[in-house]
Amino acid sequence: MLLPFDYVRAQSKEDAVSFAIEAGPNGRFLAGGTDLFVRMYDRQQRPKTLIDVKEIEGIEGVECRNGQGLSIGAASPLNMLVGNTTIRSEYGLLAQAAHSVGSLQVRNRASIGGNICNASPAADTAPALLVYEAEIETWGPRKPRLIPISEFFTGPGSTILEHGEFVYKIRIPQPDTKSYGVYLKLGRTNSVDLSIVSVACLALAGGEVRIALGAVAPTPIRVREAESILLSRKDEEAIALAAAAAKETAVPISDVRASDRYRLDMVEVLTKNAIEQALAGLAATGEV
Amino acid sequence: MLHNIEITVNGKLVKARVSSHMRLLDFLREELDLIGAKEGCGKGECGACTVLVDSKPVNSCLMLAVEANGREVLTVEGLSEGDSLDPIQQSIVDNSALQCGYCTPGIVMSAKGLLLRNPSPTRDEVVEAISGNLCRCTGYARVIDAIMQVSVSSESQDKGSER
Repeated sequence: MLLPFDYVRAQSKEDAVSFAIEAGPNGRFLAGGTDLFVRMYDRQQRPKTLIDVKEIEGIEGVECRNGQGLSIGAASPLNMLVGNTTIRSEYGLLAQAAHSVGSLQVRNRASIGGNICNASPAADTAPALLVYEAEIETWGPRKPRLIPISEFFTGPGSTILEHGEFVYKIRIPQPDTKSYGVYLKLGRTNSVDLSIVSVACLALAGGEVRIALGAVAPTPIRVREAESILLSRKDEEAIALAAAAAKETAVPISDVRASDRYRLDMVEVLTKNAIEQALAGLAATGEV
Repeated sequence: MLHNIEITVNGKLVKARVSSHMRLLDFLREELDLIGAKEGCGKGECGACTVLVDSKPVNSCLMLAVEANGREVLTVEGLSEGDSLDPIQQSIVDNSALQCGYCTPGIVMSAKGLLLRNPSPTRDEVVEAISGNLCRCTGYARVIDAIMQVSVSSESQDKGSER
């Protein structure tokens, strides 16, 4: 049972903003609801008004524009990304990350916009979006904004979004070169679990290697110290140094899922594996 | 706040007036007396409330009745025709793939969703399709066998009987 609230359905971006302003601090935007309804069920949150954004034009669907990268509607369910052929072939890391969320049933509802707005440090799509250097297109009481994903998260459960502002699209630029990405997620089980540690690694044919971590800091983070080690060399020693640098950057907490020390050790192991797999995958495409 | 909704449930158009906070699960069970979908955890972790919405498995505990407006919902009650069971249901019975039965309607609907989009899944695809359905009795082996036996490809049937 959920406690009573009002539900309104926004038909346009303007609608959504004015509903949100009218609702005030007790209003919440609703997309898939797979995080929000759980908190409401647990009485952790008691919003008075839910503003459903799913019927706003353009907020659902994946647009692949030749040479322009991807534009993903924020309310697109994760399974839509998993099943999208362009995302699978050219942005495989994002498909892997989306696929690792919850269960099939959850992914049929949970949206990519909700995954980042919920702003869990363990949000699975966040490390992927960080290494693809995604931009978040928002709509709100002031003018629309385009926010780099690296500036989007401000802490556990908090984002740079202002009251009444919602995510409309997620834009992913077209990489200049061929790339190969790997998402490694450590959980207790393969399904329906939050990550203890997660690592996204994207190897680009130009020589750049991008690495992001989940669940080991107040927000998902890029680890540029580790990346810079791999700029000039990619031998075994450099990979080990990069993995150690990732461990050095991580500042995990201890919680019911794992201790901070375990997480730190796993950051190093998973980062090493992710780099090796991403480099091997890129080499297999014949573009190194 | 009340909303007028029209949902096609098991092939029949249902018109109703529901509160904002009524979940699809409560609407099915309490308003329509379709008690196949069960509430287990209420948080989308156990899958006992799984139904198909526009042919896709969803947790009906994490969806509002008002969100299902204009959609097609299929519950376990909509599978059988009279006494004739859906092949998935029959296979579950034939394989004794249940004990207490609480999770079974959800598993059947997850399997139905899988076979609708992929009539000849591999064993791994079956495992993934029901990975959002917790069962504390069977250990899943017979459940997976039962679903594999309904799959149309004889090749994957062979794979299914390997263990």
